[in-house]
Amino acid sequence: MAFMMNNVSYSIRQGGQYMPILKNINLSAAAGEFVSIIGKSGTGKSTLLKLACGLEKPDEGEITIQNEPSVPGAAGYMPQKDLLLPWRTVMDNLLLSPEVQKKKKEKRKEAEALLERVGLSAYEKAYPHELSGGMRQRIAFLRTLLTGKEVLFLDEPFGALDAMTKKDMHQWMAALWRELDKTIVLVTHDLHESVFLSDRIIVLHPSGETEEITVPLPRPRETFLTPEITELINTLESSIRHESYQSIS
Amino acid sequence: MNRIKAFLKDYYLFLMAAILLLGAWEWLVDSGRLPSFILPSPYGILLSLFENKDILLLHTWATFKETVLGFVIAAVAGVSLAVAMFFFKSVQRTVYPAVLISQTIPIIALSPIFVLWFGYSIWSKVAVTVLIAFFPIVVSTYDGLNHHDRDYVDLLRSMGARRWHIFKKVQLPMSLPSFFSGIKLAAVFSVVGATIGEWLGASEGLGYYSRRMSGSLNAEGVFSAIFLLSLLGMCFFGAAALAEKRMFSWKEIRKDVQHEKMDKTQ
Repeated sequence: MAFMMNNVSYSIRQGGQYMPILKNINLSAAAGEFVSIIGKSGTGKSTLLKLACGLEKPDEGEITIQNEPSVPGAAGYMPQKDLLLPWRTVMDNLLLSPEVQKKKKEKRKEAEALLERVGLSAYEKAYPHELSGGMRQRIAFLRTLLTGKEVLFLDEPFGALDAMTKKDMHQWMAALWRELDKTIVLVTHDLHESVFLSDRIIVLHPSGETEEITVPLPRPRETFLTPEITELINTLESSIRHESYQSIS
Repeated sequence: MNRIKAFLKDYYLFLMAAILLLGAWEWLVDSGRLPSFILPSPYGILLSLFENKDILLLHTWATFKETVLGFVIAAVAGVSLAVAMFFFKSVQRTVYPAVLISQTIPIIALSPIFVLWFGYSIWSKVAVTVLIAFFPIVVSTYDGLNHHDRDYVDLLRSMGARRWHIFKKVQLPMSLPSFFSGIKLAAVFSVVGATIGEWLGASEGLGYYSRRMSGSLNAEGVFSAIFLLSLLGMCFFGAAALAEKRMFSWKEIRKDVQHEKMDKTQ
């Protein structure tokens, strides 16, 4: 397994009390798989990703990336905001992770090739504030790729984009992922996004239970709402709602 | 040409007000409504400046040296202390209150001690300057370092970055805006510090000169020293602002590199 979470629990201290955020979570992603995690807000999706990257330590349980315990630097992480450093050019932003790994020289060619591949070569020397939101998000994804890690964790990367740009980004990412052979774990609350991109969708309930839905659609997928996609979205929605009704009653 | 236009656009109101004020001032004195030993006329000050230009240049140079020396020492010490406080909480807990308390002591009261220690040499003036410029630099640098965005730190950590990398690549650059606010303040305060130092014991410098002129009831002389001191302060501020602008040149809107803001790719 490229990524595995075994019985992971996590709580935060709030005013002297421990608030459980995640309870006994079991998850996994196979090599080359695209997995989405969806759930209502407040179910701890972002926390789950931080744990997965080793940014936070779980209270209990075990997290592995390629069968090694997860530590910071073991996987690529793309946060919600693009977090491009505003004083660095696009190229220097891409080379941030290689700089930390002391591989700047070797990786420059790779960064140039990636920019070329996604048609953004002209922006190599541009500063982030000179780019559109969609472009910044693309650069942020390329930066995540340039960590050189096999497993990438994406935390709602398209959440702040407008609907049309978001759709473009979905196609862009689907195409790129198919060429790259990376394992991607995506956290989102956009049901259509999860259906369009994933092999498998994990619904995270507030109770901590998880439900799995496989997406059997062939790729490349239709960007319009076909009956199959609509049905999957409906299934997901009722799964999320059903659980939350239960927790209210 | 465009620069001059932009400058005039920003400052024309100020310039007009200044000219009006100087005109009124000149008229008040020339018409005999105010005796020139109380308030000398702008023209009189200019004349005095010109007549004593050689000696004034010497005094300006002395004050300039004290200011620069004091400012540089304050900047190096202040930034080092701020960085040390940022890295080691124990240093912060020990030193920060002391730095704050040191500001409550009137510098004027301390200066005789400096004269005692350093005599009438340049160092008594430099010491006052350092003391005045040190505080804004420490506080602004330390605040700037603490006001970084946690998300960026997490991003760097996720790449496996160590503390030094995070400091160098995120926290230090993000502290610069605050750092420069402190530097600009300190640049102006340094001139004040050097002047105070000179009042309390000196044989050269504009502060010393203004005191001597005041002793001999030469109002023109006092005002020309004040004029030069304020000019010196403006120059230092301008230099700091220029350095800041250089540092943030990436923010400028570049006309030669027009990037398409729309998503046209694919």
